Amino acid sequence: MNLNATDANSASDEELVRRVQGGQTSAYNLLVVRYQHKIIQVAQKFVSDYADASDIAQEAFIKAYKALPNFRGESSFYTWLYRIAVNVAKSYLEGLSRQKNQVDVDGEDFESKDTHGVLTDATTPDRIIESEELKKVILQAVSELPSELRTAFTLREVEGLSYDEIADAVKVPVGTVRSRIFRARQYIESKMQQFRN
Amino acid sequence: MQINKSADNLETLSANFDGAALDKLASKLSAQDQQHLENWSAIGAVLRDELPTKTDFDFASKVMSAIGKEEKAVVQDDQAFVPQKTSGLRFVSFKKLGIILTETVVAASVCMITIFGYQTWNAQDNVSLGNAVGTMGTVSGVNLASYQNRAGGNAISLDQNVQSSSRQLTAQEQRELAQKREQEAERISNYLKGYVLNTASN
Repeated sequence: MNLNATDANSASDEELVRRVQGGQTSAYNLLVVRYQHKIIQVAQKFVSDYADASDIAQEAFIKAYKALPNFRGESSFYTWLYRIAVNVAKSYLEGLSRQKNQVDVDGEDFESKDTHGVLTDATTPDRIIESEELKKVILQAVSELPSELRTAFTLREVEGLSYDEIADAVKVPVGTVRSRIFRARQYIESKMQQFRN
Repeated sequence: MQINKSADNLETLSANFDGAALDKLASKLSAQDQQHLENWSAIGAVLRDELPTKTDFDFASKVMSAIGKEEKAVVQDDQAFVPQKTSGLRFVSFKKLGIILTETVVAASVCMITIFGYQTWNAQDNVSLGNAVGTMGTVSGVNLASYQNRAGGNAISLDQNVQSSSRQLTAQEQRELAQKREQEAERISNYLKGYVLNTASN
C-alpha cells in the first residue's frame, strides 16, 4: 500500500464527499471506483473467498453512502470507509460463526470449510490467475509508454501527486500533465481490452 | 475498445477520476464512461499493488445500482405515506370545521332568542303587536304572539311599573291582572325554552 497516494487523494475525497452530501450521487461513484479494490483487499483479509469479500465490500460502500450525511471529516474518507468495511467483515464472520454452531448441533460436516469456518472457493486458483494475468498485461503496457507519459502517469497513480504538483515537478503546464495522463490511460486500456477479448 | 466520446470529454472524465475538474463532473455517466472508470481504477490498483485476487469490472456499477434501488424504495415509501397523511389532515379539518359551525349556529341562535325574548319581555302597552301575530309561529302548540294581541280590550303589560292612567283599578281587577301577568310570564318562559330546544335539536 502506498500511503502517499492515499494522503494525496484526501483533498479530492473531501470535495467528492461534499458533493455527495450536496446530492450529487455521481460523485460517490467516483469514490467507489477509487477505493473498490482496496476495500475488497481489506475484506479478503477476513474471508478467503473473493465473492464473499466482494459482498462485504459492497455492503460497506452502501453503509458508508447511507452514513455519509453524518460524516464530519474528522478522519479521512478512506480511514472512515476502512473502519466500516472492517466492522462489516467482522459482523459477517460472526454471522458465519453462529450458523456454524447451529449446524454443528444438527450434526452436519464441514469438509467444505476451512479452519475459520469460511467457505473455500474451489475456483480461487483460476481467479488468481486472472488477476495475475491482468497485472502482467498492465505492467507490460506501462513499460511500453513513452517516458514523458510514463513519468506523469506514475507520479499520479503511484506517488499520488496532484496535477499541479506533477506540473511543478516536470516543468510543464497543467494542461499538458492532464493530457499525458489521459493518453497513458488510453494506451494501457487498449492493451487491457485486447487481453480481455 | 470503441471510443464514441470525443477525446476532450474523455480527458475531462480522466481528470475527474483524478479528482480534478470536478465542476465538470457529469450527473450521470454512460455505461461506456463507467467502463472507462473501472478500467482506469484497475490500472491504478495494479501499479499500487492493491488489486485483489480477482477484478470485477462491474463492481462500482453494482454498488451504485443497489444504492439507486434503495433510494427509489425510500421515495416510493414516502410517496405512499403522503396521501394517507393528507387524507388524515383533510378528515381532521372537516371534523374541526363541523364543530366550529355547529358551535357558531348554536351561539347565534341563543343570542337571537335572548335579544328577542328581552325585547318581548319589555314590551309596552302602546306597542302595537298586531303585526307580530304569526311571525314566530308556534312552538309545541303555543303561540307567543297570541297572548300579545290587544284586540280583546285588556292590555297586558309585562312591565309591572306601568299602570293604566285612564281609571283606578279595583282590588279584584288588580289581583286578576297580577295573576295574568304571572301566567303570561310563565308562557313566555315556556315558549323561549321550547324555541331554544327546537333550534338546538335542528
